[in-house]
Amino acid sequence: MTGSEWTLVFFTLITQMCVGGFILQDIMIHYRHHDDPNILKVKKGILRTLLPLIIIAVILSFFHLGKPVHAIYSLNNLQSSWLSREIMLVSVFAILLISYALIFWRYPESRSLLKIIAILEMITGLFLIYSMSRIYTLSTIPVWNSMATPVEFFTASFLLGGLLLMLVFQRRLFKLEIRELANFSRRISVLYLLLIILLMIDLGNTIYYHYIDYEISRMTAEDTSYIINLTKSILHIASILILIPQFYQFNIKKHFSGVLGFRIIFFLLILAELIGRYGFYASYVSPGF
Amino acid sequence: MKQYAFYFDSNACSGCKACEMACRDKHDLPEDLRWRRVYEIAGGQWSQDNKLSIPELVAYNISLSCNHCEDPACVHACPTSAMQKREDGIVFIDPEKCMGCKYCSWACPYDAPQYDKRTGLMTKCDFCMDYIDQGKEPSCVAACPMRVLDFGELHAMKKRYPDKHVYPLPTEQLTKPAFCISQHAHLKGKENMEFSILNKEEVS
Repeated sequence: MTGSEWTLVFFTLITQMCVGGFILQDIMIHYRHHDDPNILKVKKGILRTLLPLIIIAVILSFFHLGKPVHAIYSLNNLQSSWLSREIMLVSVFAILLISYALIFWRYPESRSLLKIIAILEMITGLFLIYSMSRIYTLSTIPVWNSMATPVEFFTASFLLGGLLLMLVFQRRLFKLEIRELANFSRRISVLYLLLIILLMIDLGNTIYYHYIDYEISRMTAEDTSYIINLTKSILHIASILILIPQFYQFNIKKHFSGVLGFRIIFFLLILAELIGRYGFYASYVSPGF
Repeated sequence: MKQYAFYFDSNACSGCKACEMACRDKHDLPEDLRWRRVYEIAGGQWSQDNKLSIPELVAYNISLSCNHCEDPACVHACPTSAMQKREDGIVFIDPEKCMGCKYCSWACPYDAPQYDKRTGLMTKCDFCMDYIDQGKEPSCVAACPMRVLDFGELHAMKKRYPDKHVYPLPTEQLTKPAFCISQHAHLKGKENMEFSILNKEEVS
């Protein structure tokens, strides 16, 4: 992989994190929660995190282009190019996110407007992740052309987004007794559970990719893909093993147990995703050649 | 609609690579770009009959460039519409629109579009369309000393050369390539043999 492809990987991961993070936060933090100053602080913290991230992602997307000036033509082929569609959707997603954040900070009482923008943002985000995955599901690259690719992209989005939310929740709510958060703790429990399920799906998907690599690329134990799939699986298992006791303690003690756990999982998962994407590119085999 | 196509006769190709050199010379290509490549293919094994070792080996060459497909995956994938197909079927890149995203090279099963580090743009065989417009042959066809390369209208050529594509060419169903081939005579009946590209480092 070249440096420009790494910027593409970072663009993809950061955008996925923003989409997953935005959708999950909007589902979790209901508009009636806006009256609670603690939750409001959390929401502001999330937006303050997502906003620079999406801007960084958009900037990074230019770095893998040989001639960034010609990006003005990138919407010329919306009728057949998934890349063209992705570029359009990521632009709309970024504009909507910036608008949402600005309205939330300046006019927090405009709840109906915020709701409309949030719904549009969520729909755009889901289509964006779908078009991102369709860029890779090419009939000319059999290793990538399976259901595993969209599953991988959607799982990564909600996994990274969910973990980002957990980090913000922990930072903002760590000192509060959970009873002060009323029924919000139940939503955090659901997020814990969702993260464990997503980690398991992602682990299953990695094993499936391993199988495809064997079938199509005739992978052997010496191949990069083999080592990568194995490492990614180990990192996922480690994340699950850290997350399950945290989930248990949260439900028993009704309190976040230390900030370190999520930071470790976040690091492990970013590492797993980076290794995974490297493996994804390494598994590129054009039919015949 | 007219569709230009290349023809290659695998029987007489000596692997001299004059086609590659002519292409490089005509388009002033740098070292790392090969719009036309000659793949050296071999397969088979030795069978044992008592003390006698009998060769069941097949070796052949394939000279391959962009196949200017009827259903070009690169044209569908290109976000800027820089990759275009002419009325006569020739697929070419408009450098004024290409942003160098390399997506066409992922979409193409023949590895035809190649990235030029000097310009930051994608490049590929354009069938020497300037020569075609002047009524001349593409430079690779003109340079071939064995006359194994030819070009013409696809459907007429397909009638003359009905052979199916052979290793390492992917299934024609993917992009409907405008490429006709005469299989090597030694290959007949041995299509299911295990083959490999011998000069992989050279052509990749």
